[in-house]
Amino acid sequence: MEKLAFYFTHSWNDLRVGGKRTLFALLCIAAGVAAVVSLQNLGAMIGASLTGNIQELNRGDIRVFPPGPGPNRESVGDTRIDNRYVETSGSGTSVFTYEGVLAIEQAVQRYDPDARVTYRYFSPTNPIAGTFLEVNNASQPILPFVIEVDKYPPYGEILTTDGQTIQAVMNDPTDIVISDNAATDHNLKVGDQVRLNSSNSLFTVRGIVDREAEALSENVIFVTLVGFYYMDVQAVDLFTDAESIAGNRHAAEVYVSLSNGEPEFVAEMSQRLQRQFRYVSITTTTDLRDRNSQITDAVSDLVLLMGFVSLLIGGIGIINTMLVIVARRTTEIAVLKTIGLQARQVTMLFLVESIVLGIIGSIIGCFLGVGIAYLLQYFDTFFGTRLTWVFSSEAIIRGFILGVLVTAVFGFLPTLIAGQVRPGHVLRPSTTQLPSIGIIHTLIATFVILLALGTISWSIIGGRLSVPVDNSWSILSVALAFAFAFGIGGAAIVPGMPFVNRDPKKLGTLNLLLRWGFLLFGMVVQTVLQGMLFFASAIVVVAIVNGKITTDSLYLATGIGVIFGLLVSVQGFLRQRSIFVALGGILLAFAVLFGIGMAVGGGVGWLIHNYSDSQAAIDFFTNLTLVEASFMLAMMMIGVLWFLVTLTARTPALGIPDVKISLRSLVFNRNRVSTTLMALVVGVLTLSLVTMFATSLKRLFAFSLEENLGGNVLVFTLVGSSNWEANLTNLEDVLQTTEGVKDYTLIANYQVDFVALEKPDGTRLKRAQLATLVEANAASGENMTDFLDFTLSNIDGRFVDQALPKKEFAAGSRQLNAGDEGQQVVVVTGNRAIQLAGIQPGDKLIFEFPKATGNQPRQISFLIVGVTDETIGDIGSDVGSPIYAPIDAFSGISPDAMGGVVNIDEDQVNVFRRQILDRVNNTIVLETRFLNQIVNRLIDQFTALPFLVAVLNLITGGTVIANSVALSTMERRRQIGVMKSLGVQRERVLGMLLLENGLMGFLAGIIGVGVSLLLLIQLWAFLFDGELKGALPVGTALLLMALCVGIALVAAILTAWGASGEKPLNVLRNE
Amino acid sequence: MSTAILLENVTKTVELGDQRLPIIKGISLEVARGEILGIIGPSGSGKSTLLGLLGGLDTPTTGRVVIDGIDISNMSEQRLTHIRNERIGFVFQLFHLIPTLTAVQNVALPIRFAEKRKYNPNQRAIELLTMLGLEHRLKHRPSQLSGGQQQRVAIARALANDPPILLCDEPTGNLDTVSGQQVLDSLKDIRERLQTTIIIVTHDLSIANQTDRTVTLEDGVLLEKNRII
Repeated sequence: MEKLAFYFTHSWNDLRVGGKRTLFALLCIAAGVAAVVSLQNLGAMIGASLTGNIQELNRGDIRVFPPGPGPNRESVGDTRIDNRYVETSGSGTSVFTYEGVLAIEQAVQRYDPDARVTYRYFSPTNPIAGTFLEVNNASQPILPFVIEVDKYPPYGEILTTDGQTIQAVMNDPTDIVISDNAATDHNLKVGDQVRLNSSNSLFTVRGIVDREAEALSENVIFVTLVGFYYMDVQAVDLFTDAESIAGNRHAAEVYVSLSNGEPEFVAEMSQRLQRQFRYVSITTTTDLRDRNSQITDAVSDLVLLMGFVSLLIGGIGIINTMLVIVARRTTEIAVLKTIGLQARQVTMLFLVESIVLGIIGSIIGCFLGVGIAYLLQYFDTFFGTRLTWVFSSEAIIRGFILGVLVTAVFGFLPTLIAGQVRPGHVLRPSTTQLPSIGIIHTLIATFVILLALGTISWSIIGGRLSVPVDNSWSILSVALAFAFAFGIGGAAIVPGMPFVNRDPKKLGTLNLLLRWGFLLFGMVVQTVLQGMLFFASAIVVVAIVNGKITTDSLYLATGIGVIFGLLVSVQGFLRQRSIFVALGGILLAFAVLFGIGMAVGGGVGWLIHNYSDSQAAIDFFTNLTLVEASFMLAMMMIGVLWFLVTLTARTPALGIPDVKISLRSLVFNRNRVSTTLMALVVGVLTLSLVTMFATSLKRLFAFSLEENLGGNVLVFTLVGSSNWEANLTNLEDVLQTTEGVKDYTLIANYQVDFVALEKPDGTRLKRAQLATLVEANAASGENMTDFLDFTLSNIDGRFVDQALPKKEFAAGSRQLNAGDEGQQVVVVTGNRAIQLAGIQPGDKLIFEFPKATGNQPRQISFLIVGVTDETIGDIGSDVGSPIYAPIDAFSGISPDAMGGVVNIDEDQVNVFRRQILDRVNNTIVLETRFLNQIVNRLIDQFTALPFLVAVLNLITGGTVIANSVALSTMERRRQIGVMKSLGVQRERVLGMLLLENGLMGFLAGIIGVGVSLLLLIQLWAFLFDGELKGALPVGTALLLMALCVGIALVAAILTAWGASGEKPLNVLRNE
Repeated sequence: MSTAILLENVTKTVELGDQRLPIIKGISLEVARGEILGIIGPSGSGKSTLLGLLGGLDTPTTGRVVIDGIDISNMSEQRLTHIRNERIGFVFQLFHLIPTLTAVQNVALPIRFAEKRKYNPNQRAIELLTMLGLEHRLKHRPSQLSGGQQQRVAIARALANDPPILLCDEPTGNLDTVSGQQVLDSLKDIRERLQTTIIIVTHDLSIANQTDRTVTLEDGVLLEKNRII
């Protein structure tokens, strides 16, 4: 106990006098712990939003949905639907009829007379009414919530931003209350008047509510993307084509609040309803609680895991710091051993020091983490949803425990080294080289670290990734854990073997043979790796310069890879053969022992699988495998970085001594430089992956909208059976008479039932036969039947004299032309499903048209004249269906919808919109830039969490680099003192340190950003056949690289400024 | 007079890269209990290596090293640590005090880590520091002490577990003449009071002249009055 007290006091004192060294080590831990705590607190905040007041969130104890497509709904066709209660709307979704709502109300009140029922209205005749806000001369999408104001919400209250209930402010049918995001987007305030599409009335904004009010609506994405408004059902009468609301309570969903909210009673009532209305879907508070708890748990685990990665990056800082602490105190350790401390006591002393470091760092990290989480609640536009601030003690406890554990685990190896310092060192204190801890200790340390990390990972992930013990694949997870352990052990032993270190002349024949064998093998592997590195670099350069990847550029890059790969290997062979020997030996030892480990582990796994039946063991081994594989990956990355540092250090110094010294320092410290770089690379890589992928996606979308759509305005018309021809005429008339319309394309869309494919010889293949054919030809795992059904479920009518989609046609295929007017001919998009079905020009497609009336034919047979040449995933294809025919080939049958793409002068868009609103019914006009904005916002929201994680990783990486610079300047105080005593100015000393660290930052940037670029290039080149469509965010890449260099430089200035200014005499006397 | 230290044909060879360098080339030496022995010799003659062997900081390649009747030649590192803690005190040229600990804490350290504790650590530390004239510097850290004071704290630390042998490596090398003499006087005083055997390795002939006996180490060989012993 007394000794432990001494360890603590001594550690505390040492850290206290450690100055910057202690500070940066603490910050490394703190940054990692802050990431864990903030992310987990964020998880708790998301959880609180999802599981807070469950009855309010569920809008009642029970929600009832009609059948049909969409979340929470039973699919139509599973059960027989009572047509009195459910009606299919024009847009394909179904709604409850007035009778349906009444029937549900009666069913509920029969058992619970005090229960209350309300509903959200949805018009089956004009589903797009009120879905666009006509404001500031623009049509902007918005989600309507048409409610019974006096009964909504069934639980709790919805308050406006000025604290009033919606009932208090909505007194007239034209009064609406809008969500805060819609108000911000459209610059609306209380009292403003707006128009809604399909109504000539003016509506007044009476209040603004938080978008969270409908956060759990099944349309949550639209709620956060475009916002919503509340309107009373009485306002339905104000819309054109509207039914009178009296007796027409068409409901998209029905809310039931019971007199008793106990889960048993809710479940009983829900079962009664389900028995009576078999085709409806029901969500109860219990369902919602379960679902949200699952989401919360998954989110919490995910964010904790992400934070853990950040903490591991911080762990690199711990290793570096502890190594320097041990190196600087070798004499002290030797003294302690001289006066009677055993090796284990010295190890314990330093372990306590790293734990004290962990405790203090974790406490700071907890404070920082809570602070970050607190600030996150203000980033609502960033996350899309507003988060309620909650203080999560669990986040703090887990963050603290993880912080201390990780520090202890990462501090373990350096403390073992401390225990190995020889006491005789005290007699020659000028040497500061760290002792080697030997193969056995290295192995023990590595496995203790892996086991500890595996256990931590097990405590976080548990059995989420493992196979059930009764499944024979569970044997593999055990076998892999052993195989990696053996392999890593084998790889760790090799660098200490005599054939690597000893002079070849002094080796025996066997060792010499081994040396040459490993040398050759290592050289081949390294040449291939180098080749790949140069190949990848060449590809990135070609992609940026050319904007596309062609076969020629692949040959060029391969050539560069081969030549430079060989050149570097030849140089290495002449200068440093032992690197090849070590590499070859490590890889071969890994491979051989991996195999032995597989066999041993397979045996253990078999025993567990057959005799022990312990799922916990399988879970543990799975996590251990995960940790071991990550460790391997990290080691490989460090290896690559080590190689790159060595390569960089070989850059000619051009006779400039400062450059020479900086390069020498880099190579001298390359072990630490490569681990530090790894911390920075992980941060930069994650950040660049997220930001560059998002930027690239946005560009691609904008590109495909601008380039392929062929216009800047979209027009949608929902067609009623009676007036579609008049509507079409009016639409064409507006298009032809409005000034500024350059060109346009109109499309009439028909939803059809596919009947059969008729071959030229008269053979008919029905849908089921075609599906069988497609499945037979598809690769295993490909689900092409759904794709076939999708492709054959719609057909477009197009004007043959207007712009037609720009498509490639194979021989024997053609585009529609003027001569096809009135002919029943079609062009089919040759996607993979169509190819697999063997559909070709000359075949006929027979469709049934459900909307055909009177004398109109129910079925029409179309002759295929063209099958386009498509590549999978061509997102640049034009708007419209995959199959199109001349617009007058449909025998006058009413289409389901009409739309068009219009290319019009920007300043004429408002005039055009006014014309359309006045003359064409049920039509909305949408500028493509709004679509762009929505997509951008969607991408931003989806990337918000990964972006946050990446930023936290980068902060941790930056701290690790600051720590590393602080340590290396401290180690080099003597060198700095000598340089200054020789007359080198402070600025020049600082310049050298900056150059060295700038190079480090540059390397990290090149790798992090380069890998992201490479992945993007590969992805887009694969999707677009080598065409990169200008989607590479080169600007973002350069910015990220500059950020990386900037972080390294700032870290260097912060830590090196003081050291470079010290008086040489002070330094030389004290060092 | 009984023997405190006995060296029999001790050699020490070290590997330097691919070369094997003999540092100590067969030394035999006997030091009596309570004797002050001076070892002098030029740089590179093997003084530090010899001191390491005498203090159990290193083991000989061949030969026997017997300390206080115990043969430590082939002892494990763990046993050697106990021997160093209980039977040998070290005084170094650069003092090597733990900078973060006070004078008392530094002196008490070997007692705290003794296998069998003979003294109350703090009480013993205060006694020793008082004996060495440092009673007014008990709570000071090394950085707050002069060189002579630091060395006297180091001597007190070396005496903490009342070892029969004190090994001093250039104990006055980092001190001015007055402080150096004070330290030497302290060592003599200790021998008188505690009958401690003291070995002083030094360059300084004026120090060597004040010892009971002086031997010279030259190129790994020990000479006494110019005679190889």
